[in-house]
Amino acid sequence: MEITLRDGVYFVSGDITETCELATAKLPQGPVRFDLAGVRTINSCGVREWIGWIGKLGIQPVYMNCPQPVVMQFNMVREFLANNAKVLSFMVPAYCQTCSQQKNFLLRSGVEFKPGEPLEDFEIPKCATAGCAIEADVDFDSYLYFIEDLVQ
Amino acid sequence: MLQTNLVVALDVRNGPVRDNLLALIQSCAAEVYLVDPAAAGKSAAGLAKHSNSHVVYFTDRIEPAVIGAVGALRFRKLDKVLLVHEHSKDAVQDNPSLLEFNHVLSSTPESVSNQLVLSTIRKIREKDYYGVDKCLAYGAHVHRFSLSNSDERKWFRDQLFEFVKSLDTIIGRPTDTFAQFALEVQEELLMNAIWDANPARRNAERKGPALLEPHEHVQVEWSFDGTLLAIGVRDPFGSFEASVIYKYLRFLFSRDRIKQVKMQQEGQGAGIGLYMVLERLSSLIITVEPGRATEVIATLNLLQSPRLMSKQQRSFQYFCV
Repeated sequence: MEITLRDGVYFVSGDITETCELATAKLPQGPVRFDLAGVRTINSCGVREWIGWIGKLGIQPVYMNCPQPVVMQFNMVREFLANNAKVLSFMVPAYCQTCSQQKNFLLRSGVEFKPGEPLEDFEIPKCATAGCAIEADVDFDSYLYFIEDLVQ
Repeated sequence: MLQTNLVVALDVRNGPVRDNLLALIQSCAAEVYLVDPAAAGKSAAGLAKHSNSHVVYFTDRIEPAVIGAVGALRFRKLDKVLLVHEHSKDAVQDNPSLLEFNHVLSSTPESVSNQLVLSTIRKIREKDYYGVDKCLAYGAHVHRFSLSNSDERKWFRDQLFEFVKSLDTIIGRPTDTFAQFALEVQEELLMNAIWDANPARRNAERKGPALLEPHEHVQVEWSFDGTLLAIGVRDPFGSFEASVIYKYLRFLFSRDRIKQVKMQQEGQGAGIGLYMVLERLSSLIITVEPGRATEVIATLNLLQSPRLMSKQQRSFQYFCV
């Protein structure tokens, strides 16, 4: 796993596991933005490491561009969203059989979803191809469930 | 005349299910003893005449009196197999007598598949339980590895990720989501095999690399048969307790995703890794040889969409051998 700082945002990439040296990363106090788009996976020990690290620092994490592995952990491990964590945006993977393409749709806070409110009736936008058969690769009932737990 | 070396006692109340199983088991050249559902305890006692045989007791319900009656008889060997389906799953969960069974099988919500029954009978008969090849179509190549250092997990993650991604041409769609699921399943199974299953390392610090002694090495298998991807991880400890997996039956047998998420949230802590595994697979096969080995195999049906796979009830098999 790597963390790099660019324009005030901490970009996290790779695999978050129990061996990550999180303690060595220097972070400011208050809200800290993490771009998680580059996270490939986060294992069960990695989640605990991450939660412990955020808790010790006492920062307010602000997560953006969260990929599917991270969203699945949001739903499973509620403490991931402790410390008044905010989620600015996350991805919904989808596949269109007509154009044979895997796509990722970004759902943004205040635009496609509102923190603390269930997201009902969300539909993946159709692509430009005639006879578009795009379908989410995730079950919305469970995948979008964490939104209800988010602080406004 | 077909040679028989197995007596299967069939104790199933539902007529069509019983008829199907009867024909299926007979097709395996096994002798069948039909337990009379109306007087199961008394009828099961009639099995006493097979005291020199290897008896496999198949049932789809948990009736302590009948299980006790069968267990009290002396056989050359006795295996007790529980078939779980839609009508029996509620009665099975949290039932303490569940631990009486050596083997538990469930597949589709409606019934236990013929293939699963056949493969189980063959495993019992041949005493050959291990290996991902038994979950897949004949001909699938099995990739075998041995892990001797916890740091090697990174290599395993990278290799399996690329392996699954390379299947996209066969599957006819990008396999990114399956690749991610596969590496996450393998990762949790490996962590379990390296640390949790090993009494000497269970409470060890996990931050640094763990160099495994030869007797601690973990066996890893992957295979793909055109439909199913199978990932198998075997440790040499056999410390997996049946009571642990039975805690997860409610999750396995559920098709309500919100309920499943709530179960995960409530059950987090030590059990989070197994919940992660269960969420990302089509079927789970656990084989435990107490004190000797535990093999956990996860299969993923790559011809289904990931969404459909996550919504479907998981198939589950448990073998204590």
